[in-house]
Amino acid sequence: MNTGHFSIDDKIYLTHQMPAVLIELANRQGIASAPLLRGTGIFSEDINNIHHKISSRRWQRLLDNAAKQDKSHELLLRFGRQLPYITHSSLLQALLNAEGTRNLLEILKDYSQLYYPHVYFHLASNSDFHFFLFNNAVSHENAHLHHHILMSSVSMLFKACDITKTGITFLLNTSAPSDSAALQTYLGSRIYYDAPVNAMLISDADKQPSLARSCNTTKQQALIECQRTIDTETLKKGFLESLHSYLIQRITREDTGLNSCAESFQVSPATFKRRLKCHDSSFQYELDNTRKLLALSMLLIQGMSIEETARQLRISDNANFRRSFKRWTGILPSAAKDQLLHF
Amino acid sequence: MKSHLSLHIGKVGLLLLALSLVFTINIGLGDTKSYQNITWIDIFGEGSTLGLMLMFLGFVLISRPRGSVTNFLVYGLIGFCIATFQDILDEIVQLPATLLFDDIIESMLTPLAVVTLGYGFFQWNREQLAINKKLQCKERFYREHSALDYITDLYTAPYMKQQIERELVLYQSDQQPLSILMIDIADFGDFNRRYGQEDGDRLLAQVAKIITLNLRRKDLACRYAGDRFIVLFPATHWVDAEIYSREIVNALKNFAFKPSNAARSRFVDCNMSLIDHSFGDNAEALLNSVNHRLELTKHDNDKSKAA
Repeated sequence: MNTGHFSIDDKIYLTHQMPAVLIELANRQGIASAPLLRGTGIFSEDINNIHHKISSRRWQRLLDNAAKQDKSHELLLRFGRQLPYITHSSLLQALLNAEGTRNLLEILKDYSQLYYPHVYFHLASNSDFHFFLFNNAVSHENAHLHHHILMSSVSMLFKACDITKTGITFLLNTSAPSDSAALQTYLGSRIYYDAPVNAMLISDADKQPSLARSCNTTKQQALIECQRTIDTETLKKGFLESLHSYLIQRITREDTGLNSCAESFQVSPATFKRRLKCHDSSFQYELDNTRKLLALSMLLIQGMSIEETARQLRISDNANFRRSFKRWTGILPSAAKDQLLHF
Repeated sequence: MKSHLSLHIGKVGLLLLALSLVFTINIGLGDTKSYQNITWIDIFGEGSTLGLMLMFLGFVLISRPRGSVTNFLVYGLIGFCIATFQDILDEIVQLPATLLFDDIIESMLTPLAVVTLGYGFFQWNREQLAINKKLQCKERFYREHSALDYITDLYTAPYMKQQIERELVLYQSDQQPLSILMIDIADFGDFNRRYGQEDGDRLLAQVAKIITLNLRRKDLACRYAGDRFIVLFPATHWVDAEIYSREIVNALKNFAFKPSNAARSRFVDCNMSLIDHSFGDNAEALLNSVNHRLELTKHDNDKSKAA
């Protein structure tokens, strides 16, 4: 398999793009630059340097600092609204010319490296819902900060594309904060806390018509431009994203273990373990996480029975599957549909 | 908030000059005591008093603009600092018995400083009462600077939550009704993109001002988050609150905002939702309810605009 991926310490973020905008927004909210930049390896003069880059770890640190300094809990959500206008201009053009809700989500999923490399997406749809899952491409540390940014950002894109927001439920796998005003204002009142995953559940019951502003030719041209950027700048997937892709392909077909995974990444099992630890994870965690995503997708979107889902995931019996599902998500498979789809 | 220290360079200079003068006179005219004769515990006690005075003086200089109250506080504190400094030097330097310098500094300057500082405190209190009056509709019974919103100078959602809880207690004991209004600026995201974040923040600040201008003395306005504002009408029935709400919305509709990079004024359109105490039995439930109703109103308004 192609082992080309970026790690948490690879410098991939141009400082004058996302970090600069975040710092400017923070300054506007009365947050000084010095506490924001602490431990990020960014100096004031780097912000205007068009060649300076930082790693995902440093970007994570910048977000941690911002979240600590921001008493209103609004800064990252506000940044999320800016995000579509910071990232690749052709990608924005493609998104604004998407044919409908599903198409917009597909573009985001396919070009997540250009949009926000720290997170990648899964998309599963049926006739009633789109299930848009947020996954960590390089690290699980304080992942909710990235997910808040992206949820606010996707919400903003929906508005820009005239897609109605009323049928969107936001699933957050964190507890409800003591001050939820900012989340309610930016995401809406349909927020389900302590969910098993971070996702957006978008009802397509109204069967959103093709978007008025969409132009297929413009979108295609923009996507060609996006692909060209990915090819010329050899943009890669995150380490965890590569691992998930590998696991998703294998889990339903064969028993997958650490050794076979390490082999496909062309490293020894010990090195592979160390690399996972460096990305705040472990093989068992990633395996369980992938199974959880597949199980939720099969049960909620594809409408499979518990027996069928267990069989697909190569779990020996239903009782075993129920126990595992409860361990992964905190709820039983039978309750998942009621709680998540009919929230 | 910018430091005001640069406005008081003269006063800092005066303090340093006075302290150097006292030091020079003591060293020049007196004899330094031997190490055994120095009472270190006294130096420590008086030194900590001087430290406290200097700290107080520092905060006054950093946080206050020029003015009579500041002058009384600063000159009173400078007097105290000089007297305390002389007191410390007395422990180290023995001045001739015939020289009354140290007595004059300690016994005469201290009462003078007390009178000046006392008058300064009196004026400060009056100033604070005047500021409290200005904070009407922005603050009720409780002050917590860390809960202030940087952009609008209003308190934020947690503060409003506390006040709603308080009003709910009153409702349960005295059957006083309460109403809650939530307002959001229509198409604020679009405004930000068109005119920039700076003008967006300026618009929020001005909308906050207009809302507070249209409230009664007992009402409270807070910034909820983003472009949402929330108003608490204590002891107010829904029917009356609706009239006040319409007045606020009308005032906002007639407000001509001047974006810095546009030739024409921009008028503010907004969505509102109003609820009373019957929508929930705690602040969280009431806030969720008013939020949810606002979203429905927005949705309806967007639909009618599209139609």
